[in-house]
Amino acid sequence: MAAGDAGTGEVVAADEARADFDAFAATVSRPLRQALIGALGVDRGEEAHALAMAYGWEHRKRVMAMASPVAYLFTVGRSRTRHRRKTVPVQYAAPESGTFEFEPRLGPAMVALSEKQRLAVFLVIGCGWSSAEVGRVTGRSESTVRMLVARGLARLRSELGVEEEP
Amino acid sequence: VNGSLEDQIRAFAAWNLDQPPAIDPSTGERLSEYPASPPDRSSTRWLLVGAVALVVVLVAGIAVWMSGGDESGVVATQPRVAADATLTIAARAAAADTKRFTGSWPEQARVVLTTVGLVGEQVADPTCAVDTPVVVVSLTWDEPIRWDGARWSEGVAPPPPTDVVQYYRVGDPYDLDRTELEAGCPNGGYGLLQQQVDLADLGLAAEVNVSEHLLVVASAHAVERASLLGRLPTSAEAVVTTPDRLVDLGVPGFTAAERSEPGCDPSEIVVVQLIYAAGQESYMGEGPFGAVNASIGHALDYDPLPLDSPTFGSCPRSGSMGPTPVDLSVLGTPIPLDLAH
Repeated sequence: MAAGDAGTGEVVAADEARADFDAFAATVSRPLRQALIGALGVDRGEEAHALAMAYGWEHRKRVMAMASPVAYLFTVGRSRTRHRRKTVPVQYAAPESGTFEFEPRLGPAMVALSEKQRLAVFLVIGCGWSSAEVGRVTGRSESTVRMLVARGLARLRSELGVEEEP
Repeated sequence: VNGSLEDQIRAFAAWNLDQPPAIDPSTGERLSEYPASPPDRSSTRWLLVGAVALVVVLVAGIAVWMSGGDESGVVATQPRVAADATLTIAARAAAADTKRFTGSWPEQARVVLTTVGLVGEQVADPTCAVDTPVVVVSLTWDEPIRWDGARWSEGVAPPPPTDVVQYYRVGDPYDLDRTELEAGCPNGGYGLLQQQVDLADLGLAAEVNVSEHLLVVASAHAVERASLLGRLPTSAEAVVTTPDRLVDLGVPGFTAAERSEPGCDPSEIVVVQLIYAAGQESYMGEGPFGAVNASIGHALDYDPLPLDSPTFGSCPRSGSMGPTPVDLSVLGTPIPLDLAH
């Protein structure tokens, strides 16, 4: 009987831990995935996201107590896939054939940016993050992020041959 | 295409973030390919199998052995290691690699030599012949683990802690520049298959002891170096030391700053020295070190200790310290390791 009670207690504790982490993951997973895909492309970004979230679960007590878990897990995801940078190059999905949602050359142009610029442009322009939010994840100042966005956009315009709108 | 550049970037981001998950975590089944595949998306396929790293000599050696041997090949210059020893090293390397994901050592490893064709579409690659030999490793844990081989998806709960992980190492090089291997599987890799496969369908599996953790770590180094060198070392030595000791000694590539990343706080690490047969080329052609290729690299890749701790000192940074000739005895007491048994 006592053993049964202990077993029930363990199950309850495990369920509570999972519920806590689910709530945490619901908050962290989305921005983390955006940041990793923005920086590393779809392939390695997805993989990095999976590994970072697995790491988060493994070390949940410590990670959930952090002030900036997304920043931490972003570093974990990048680092844990670093050895795949040769086999999984940065690349993005091309637009669906027949649609004109975005310029097909935009993907290669994004890849041609430095990772810092690419991440800043992807998050600030593409995902609507503030410069401060990007700065917290990347450890850069707001002004630096704004500069990266501006230079990234300028380079994209140059690559794509488009002019800045007045 | 309409809209400003900013509008297009928003559409671009939304499109790329909206790519469907390759695998349904609840069933382990592949959902779909990406809806739009650029011509060079072959790496996507390898993402599906969770490309991690890989083993040049493994497949090369196996291929040579299976074909009766090619004495002119790079692998043929390697002292022959019995095929079952190669599988043993592969299983141990897989155990070390997967431990990095789970934080826990597996209790058991089973390994089987099979072919791309038999493993099925999970490892299929247009550059791989169906008869390309691959090594499949299945790892199981007695203790709870938190990684089930399936990718995470937003809102999906972590896998039950009693899940069994199946790890599949598919040998073939990504740093491949050896012509005798290029006909095999140039884009190959190894990694976590996203589906669990019954090893019994692949052939007779052999059990491998993965409880000797220093040996497991050394095997991981051996395999990784083999992917660069095209040959396996004949043996290894390992020493358990501290990061501070390496910093104090001024070991190149190992500074206090390099281990300051979040989560990188190992109290101990294992330094592995791989030993090759005399007269062989040294690592990466940077000059001969004699009979011993003092390869002290990748200590941070695999080796934060305590090895038996469930909360091992994880070090997200991956890095190689390169072929640094160092007298292991100044770091501690070297432990000889026989990689082949």
